[in-house]
Amino acid sequence: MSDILSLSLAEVAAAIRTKKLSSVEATRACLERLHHIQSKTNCVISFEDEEALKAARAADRMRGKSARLGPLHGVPLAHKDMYYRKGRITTGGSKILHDYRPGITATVVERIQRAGAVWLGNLNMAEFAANPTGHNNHFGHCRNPWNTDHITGGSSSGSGVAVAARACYGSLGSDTGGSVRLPAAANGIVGLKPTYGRISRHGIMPRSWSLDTVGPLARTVRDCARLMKIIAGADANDPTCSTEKVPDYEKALTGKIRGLKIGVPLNHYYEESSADVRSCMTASLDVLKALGARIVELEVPDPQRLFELSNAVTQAESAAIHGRWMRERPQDYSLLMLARTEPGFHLPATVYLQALSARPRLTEEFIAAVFGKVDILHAPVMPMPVPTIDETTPRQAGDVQPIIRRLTRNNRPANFLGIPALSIPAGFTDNGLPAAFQLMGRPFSEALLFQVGDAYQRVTDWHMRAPRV
Amino acid sequence: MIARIHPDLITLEAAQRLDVKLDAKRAGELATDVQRVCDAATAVSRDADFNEEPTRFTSVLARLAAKPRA
Repeated sequence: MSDILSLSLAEVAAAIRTKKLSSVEATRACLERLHHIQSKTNCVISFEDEEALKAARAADRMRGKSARLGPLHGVPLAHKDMYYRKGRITTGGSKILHDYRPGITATVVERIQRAGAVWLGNLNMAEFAANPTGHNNHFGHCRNPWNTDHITGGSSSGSGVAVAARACYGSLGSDTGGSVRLPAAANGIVGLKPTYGRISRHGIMPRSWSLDTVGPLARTVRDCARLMKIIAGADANDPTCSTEKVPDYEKALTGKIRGLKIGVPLNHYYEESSADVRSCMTASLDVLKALGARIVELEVPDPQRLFELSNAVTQAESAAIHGRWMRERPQDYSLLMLARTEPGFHLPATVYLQALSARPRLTEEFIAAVFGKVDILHAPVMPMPVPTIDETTPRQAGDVQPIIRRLTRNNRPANFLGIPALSIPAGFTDNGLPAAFQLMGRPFSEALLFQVGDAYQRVTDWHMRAPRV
Repeated sequence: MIARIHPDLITLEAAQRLDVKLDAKRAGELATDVQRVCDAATAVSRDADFNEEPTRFTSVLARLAAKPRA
């Protein structure tokens, strides 16, 4: 593997800016790597080699002029195939949208393009961003680069794989119930589910409007912080998008966390955890403690209830989005997608609205009970080692909900609460696959999460390990 | 508590809304799934504040954001 590919996003951006490296060299290295891993991991839906190289050449030419260069100038990225670009096919990982050409461009796409990024291609994902495993019956299952018998996590499956396998420097995913954090965790990289409304969702294929968030995946916390600064912020095209000021997230990366109180939940998050996952969590807490943080155990307001309420919202909204297609073209959906959406057709509208209307108060209660006592909450992303594709392949409709519930139980509560959660690599379980913890905080506390995650990465090297695919 | 979700109701709705004929096993599974979600929503209905319009959740989050460190 080329040394160029070992650089982080921040490092490659600096190297291109200072002309130690050309964007063409970086883009070519990434494309070669992406093609190489494709046969083993199936992480790409469509390549854009020629256009990427053309953009890279243009980026290199611009360096010679006095033009102000963006923070991602010439940096090759690839993204989950659900970000609209006007007139360009965006499949959403589905057969239904296999030839869909949107009439608009997503706000976040405009922002990363304005920042100078090069677009390598569109990455594999779960059908309509609706499963946490990375299964895809239409484009083929995405496979974990650490062991291709195992799942990648989803729904941003290709994003997790391409970044972990050093085939791009960062990627945009989306998280409605764990879809950034799970692939980040399963592939050994960093992923952020931001505060609901922190990043515009305009021009992004919807999964569940009330819970959807856009999130960056990258190898380091610093890289995620840089992407976040570029894509976050108000957008007139998305009325749910916050007007809160976007901080300079990289400035928060001081390496200092002395005196911070880190909460460890006594209920829910460890209930189905394996010994090897618990061991990784304990080791990560020891590191944070050694950095000066204080660990505080506490009970948190019933996450299982929040989990069920998030299901009420997702199932109802997803059934509304897919109802017509599911009636007219059921054969074009996978069993996983059909079975997962099906309950939404039977939920009373009042139940959906009750869940949404209880959300502000439940969020307020959770924040008071948890973040009134600690600064951040630490918990495993997945309570068990990354399972195999075979173990998570449903044979019949009744298999689907148990698989999804098991994988997403620790993730969906944060989506219902709208709070940010950052997934950080924390070692490996006995099967050789990555494990990860997540840091959750108050709304709009991304800078604090980055600060803690970065301090952890300064003294650990899990994020430096690369799969040998 | 919401009234019990009966599998026969699920079967009927599936036929009406999706033109799908469910077998008894699947109807039972769906009834269980729907019941679980309905029970959770009913249990928190006392927490619902209908003055907080749900689509304004982002502003609720902004209000809860800025607090001094614990």
